[in-house]
Amino acid sequence: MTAVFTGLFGILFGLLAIGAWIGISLAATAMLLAFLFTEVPITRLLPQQAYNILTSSELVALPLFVLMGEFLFRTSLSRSLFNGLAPWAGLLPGRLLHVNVVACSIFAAISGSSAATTQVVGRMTLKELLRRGYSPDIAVGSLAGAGTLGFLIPPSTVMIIYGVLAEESVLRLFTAGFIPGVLLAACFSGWIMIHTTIRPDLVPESERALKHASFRTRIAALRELGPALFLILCVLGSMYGGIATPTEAAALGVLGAAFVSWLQGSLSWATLRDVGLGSIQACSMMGLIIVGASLLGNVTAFLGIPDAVAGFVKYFDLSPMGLIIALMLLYLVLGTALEGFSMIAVTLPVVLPLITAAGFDKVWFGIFMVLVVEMAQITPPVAFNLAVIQSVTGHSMAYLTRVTMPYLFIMMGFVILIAVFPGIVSFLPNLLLGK
Amino acid sequence: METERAAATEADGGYAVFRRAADALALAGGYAAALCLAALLALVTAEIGMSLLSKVFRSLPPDIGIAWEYSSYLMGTAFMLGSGLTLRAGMHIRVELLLRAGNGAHVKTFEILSAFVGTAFTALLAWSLARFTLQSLSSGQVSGESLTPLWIPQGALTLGAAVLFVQMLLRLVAAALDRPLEDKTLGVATLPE
Repeated sequence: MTAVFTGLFGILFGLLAIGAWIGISLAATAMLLAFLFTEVPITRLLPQQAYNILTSSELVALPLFVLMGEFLFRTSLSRSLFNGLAPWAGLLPGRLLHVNVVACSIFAAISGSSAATTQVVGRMTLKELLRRGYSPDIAVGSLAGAGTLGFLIPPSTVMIIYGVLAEESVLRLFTAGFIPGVLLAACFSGWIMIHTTIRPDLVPESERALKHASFRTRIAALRELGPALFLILCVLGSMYGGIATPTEAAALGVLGAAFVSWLQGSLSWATLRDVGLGSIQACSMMGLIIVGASLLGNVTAFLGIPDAVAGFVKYFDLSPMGLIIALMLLYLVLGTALEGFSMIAVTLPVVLPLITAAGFDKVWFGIFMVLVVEMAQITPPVAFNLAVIQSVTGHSMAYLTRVTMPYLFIMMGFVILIAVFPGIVSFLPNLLLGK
Repeated sequence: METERAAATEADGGYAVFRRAADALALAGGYAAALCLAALLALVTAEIGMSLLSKVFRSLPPDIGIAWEYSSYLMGTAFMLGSGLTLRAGMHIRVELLLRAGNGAHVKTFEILSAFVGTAFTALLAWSLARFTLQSLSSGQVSGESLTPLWIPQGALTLGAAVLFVQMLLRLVAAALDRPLEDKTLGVATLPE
């Protein structure tokens, strides 16, 4: 077993280190392990497994949600979100900073991606907040934190990939993510209120006037939220209402997004071409990782690696809570160098059997994975969401990390919270879908 | 000296021809993949429409029998056919920490090594998929649901893997010749993460 482990980690991390593509590193490691330590004919395993996973029907929602995201990315939805939310956010301490959190939550409920959420919301709010004189510390930090909600609030590409690799229902995961997502957004908003109360200088004095906007302006502003709410209804409404599968909801979402894009006059042949090729590039990227991950999962299971790891962990006699904290710390470290999909793909074959052996439910663990993946998006040097913000504001990575730190701690605390109260995760799926 | 330079230009001329052909192939693959995605969307939409209609007109069948099966074939084809373009556009994710470390002193070595691994793996993938497809063809395997010959979707995946292999092989050559490895102008995806 030692030889197998050395082979697994040596080959995998060696390939990742020289810059081989994640999917190819995973697949090549799987092939080499199978060749060295088993009798499995790899030239049969490889095509069969690649074909099976790439044509599995649970995955069909993924390209559709990607397509929807590419459409939305090319609309002016961020402007309408800002205009619709600003008069309301003015009521809270912290004022327009809450637009970051709420706009990210709303966009997260129609898009499956976290960096796209950060980018779409940020390109409007950042400019506006900085122009109005908010401290960049909190304007940038709250955006980086809230942008991660893109994964937790369904739909979510990470959940689809986790669902397919862990053989768990995507609909169940999509249902389970909702309450934690809203709660985490509330935690972010709560922190903004606390932070700006302790440090009133973060918000410019002149913004107090926002409190006195007329009721009529507020009501009128709600109209701006129409397109976003229409899309949420298409996607989440149809799924939670039990009338559509995630795939059907995704197709409705694409049609809705195309409709919004047409209404706003941004639908042209050039847009369609970019949307099409852009979706294909995102999908192929994920497809290669999925093939690699499923191959490695298959081969490690065949080699008995999960059992060996479970035995090894049992030896340390960790309590379930200790295990969760240990895993969270492990993922924090991994998350500095790997981005989200890769982290799931690299670790799931070994970690999932461990977690089910310790008595955790696969849906709960899916939400845990989404949270640690979100953390990976904001822990440098490899931090997609920070890179997105960097491309807008030009701040250094060190600065971005520092101002995002409080939100990272909130997320870590939140992981402990759902570990202590797993009902936060299981309540909605049990209610809507039964036990 | 003279002959060396002439040989270099000649090799280069050869490379440029292959590069243009391979990139045209990858782009064609990308467009074909995008069409598959459009067809997938149309199929799922038709399925939703059908199930709504059948609730109103009871005589209609409740679904399109082949919708789920064919949408998964279209998905697999789209994923694989677009992969070559994705590589050329620099959109396949990799860990770039060490590539960027040390002022890029080892970039060439790392690029050659990773392209070599990529070429070896994609060659294996394309070849084994081709064999898999031919076996389905000769044994006449059909799907359980619609009796569709399985060599068709399998062949589409093979084609995609072959396009990816060609791109990988040229990337290996480009890395050795110090040519540009990626064409960022081809990349149009927003960050999918």
